[in-house]
Amino acid sequence: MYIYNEPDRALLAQRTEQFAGQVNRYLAGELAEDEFQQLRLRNGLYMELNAPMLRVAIPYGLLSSGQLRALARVARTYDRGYGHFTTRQNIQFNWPKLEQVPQLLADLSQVEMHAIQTSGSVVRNITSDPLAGVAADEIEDPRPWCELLRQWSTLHPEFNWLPRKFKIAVTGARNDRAAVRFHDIGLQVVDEAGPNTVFRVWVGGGLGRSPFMGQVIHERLPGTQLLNYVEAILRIYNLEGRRDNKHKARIKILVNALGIDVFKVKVDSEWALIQKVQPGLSGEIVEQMRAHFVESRYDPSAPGKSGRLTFDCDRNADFARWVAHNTTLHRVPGYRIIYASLKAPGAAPGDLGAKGMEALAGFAERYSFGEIRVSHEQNLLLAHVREADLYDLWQGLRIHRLATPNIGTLTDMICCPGADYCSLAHASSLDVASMINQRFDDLDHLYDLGDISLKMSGCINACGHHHLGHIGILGVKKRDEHWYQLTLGGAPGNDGAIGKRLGPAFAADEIVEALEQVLRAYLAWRRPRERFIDTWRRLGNTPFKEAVYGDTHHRTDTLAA
Amino acid sequence: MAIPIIVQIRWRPNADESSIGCSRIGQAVAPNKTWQSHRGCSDDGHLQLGATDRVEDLPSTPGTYRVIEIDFSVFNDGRGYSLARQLRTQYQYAGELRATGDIRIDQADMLARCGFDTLELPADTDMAQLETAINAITVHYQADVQLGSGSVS
Repeated sequence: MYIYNEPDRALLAQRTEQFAGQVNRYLAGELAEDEFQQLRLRNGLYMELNAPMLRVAIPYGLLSSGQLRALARVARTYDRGYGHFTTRQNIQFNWPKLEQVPQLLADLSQVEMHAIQTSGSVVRNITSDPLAGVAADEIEDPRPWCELLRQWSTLHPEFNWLPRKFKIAVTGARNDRAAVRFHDIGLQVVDEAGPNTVFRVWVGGGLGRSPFMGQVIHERLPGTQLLNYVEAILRIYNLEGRRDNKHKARIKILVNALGIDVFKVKVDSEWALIQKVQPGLSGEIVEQMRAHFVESRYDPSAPGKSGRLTFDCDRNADFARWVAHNTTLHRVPGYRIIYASLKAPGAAPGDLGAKGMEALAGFAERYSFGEIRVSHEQNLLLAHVREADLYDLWQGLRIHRLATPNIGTLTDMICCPGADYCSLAHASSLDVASMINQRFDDLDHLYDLGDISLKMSGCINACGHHHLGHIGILGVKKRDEHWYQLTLGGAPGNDGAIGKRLGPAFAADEIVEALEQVLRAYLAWRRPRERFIDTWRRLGNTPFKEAVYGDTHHRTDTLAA
Repeated sequence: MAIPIIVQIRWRPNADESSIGCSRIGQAVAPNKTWQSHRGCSDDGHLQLGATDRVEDLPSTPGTYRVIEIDFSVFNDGRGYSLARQLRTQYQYAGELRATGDIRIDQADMLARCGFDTLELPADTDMAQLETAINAITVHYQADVQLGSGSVS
């Protein structure tokens, strides 16, 4: 992974001190509320219901074991002993005190971590494929490009006051696991590129109140022009994005108002001017960056020892089930990628306590080159585990309740913190998650339901990406009560689609029953081995609507709001 | 309200990083005195631009103005930063570039890095605090208008 050099460390130290100064000036009454709000947001600090919430950046979801241990110390020292991993591969702490945040950040800076640009109208954390560098379908490791984008976008003087937040995702694989079509800018390495990296560039995707799938603005952008081209897009957005209404300020609104063709003409002409003064990235810089991400510690004798995996699976059905659901093939023979599930029954999805973090850091050091990854689905991955070590690792994970074999199933749900923590949320999401876990606690039933992504957001801001769930649940507020809408048919990847709303919302005590009706309809209508999403694509919302709403007249009467 | 002051930025380049000196060079012209209009040019070679103005629509080439002022109606509207970069890098504007309106001392370093060389600030601005704020971050990843290349661009 990328290791900081002297300028990186100096910059982070200065930024940490700068922010501490801003907090102190605010506490001393020398900074106006409106100004401090903008300054703290640019450093990940929200003022939430119970306390400040601090979002710490995990660039493209990659952590060292030392960093994870430091997060555990932060959870213990400044929080109530846990953290919440987010859909953008970051971690949030919900209970720090404002006066302690500067020291917290100083502690984190010792392990090269920070909260720079994790909120505010700036370029946010660059996200990527959690399987970067290990996936079999990868064309090129996207992380060197992510790191170049991270550095370039960090404290960029021109783009610190954009109309609204700006999210960039990068994938280097054939199957998009980074949802590049649903970001302000999505970058996908194009196949058959020869020796030089070429990107397909998507622009104007996003979720929230007006969900849009991104559109392709450049089919074959040379990697050496990546920063110049992103600069051109950001400059046009900075100058022309709407600032009169924050709900219409994202780039997706601009792109759709102008039309992609007009937007592209503007970007291209700006790009041409930029190229006259900035030639682009040198091949040398790109090569230096690539060298940080080359993994060469694999044990050549690993495949020869993999027989133990078959042996262990034969003698232990629980282990075999975990291997089948929570591990996936690595491109190096004899190795596997394993998922530590943060979706144990009763746990808030994405939450992990300090003990769990430290345990996982230890497992990473013992079994996976000291490296941990955060997935968009809010699980943690150990990406390089020898097959012969899986049984020992599984036993360790079980002790810490990190081995629930539910990856990819209904209970591996994505969920925002909801109204219990977030001042934006309209409805509680964690209560519903817990009810779903109770209702669907039978593993065989979960496996029978197969691959299903359930994504839940506590409000229309869509942090839980409900639009992209095969099944989405959106919390809304009606007459001061929490209600829940179902959407079906969303998907984040190559088959990207925005889910369709099924019908009127459900009360908190009805939503789980409604979900069960949807799943019963699926079981009734599915063809052999057909996944939920494929059944839905074949049949659409209608049969599900009938199953859920039954006597539609009655439901419409009682639920009309 | 007291008439705002004009602060001059002076770059003090070093090998790897640069600090900035700030000095008060005078008072702002009282509003509505010499300006003909937005986008208009006053007698003394000043041009005033707002956030909605575009560099490509200027009445004459930027180089004909002695001073170009870019006004920030509210401090979190970042359009003026892009206008400044365009003027400095694409139009090679070499005259004085002044930031006016609602700007805060914590923004001074990024304004400077985008090519502003004078700032119009409230009369009661604490110059020591300004100098601390503008020098808070001296290591940069990006190319700056005055300093050229950063480490990645």
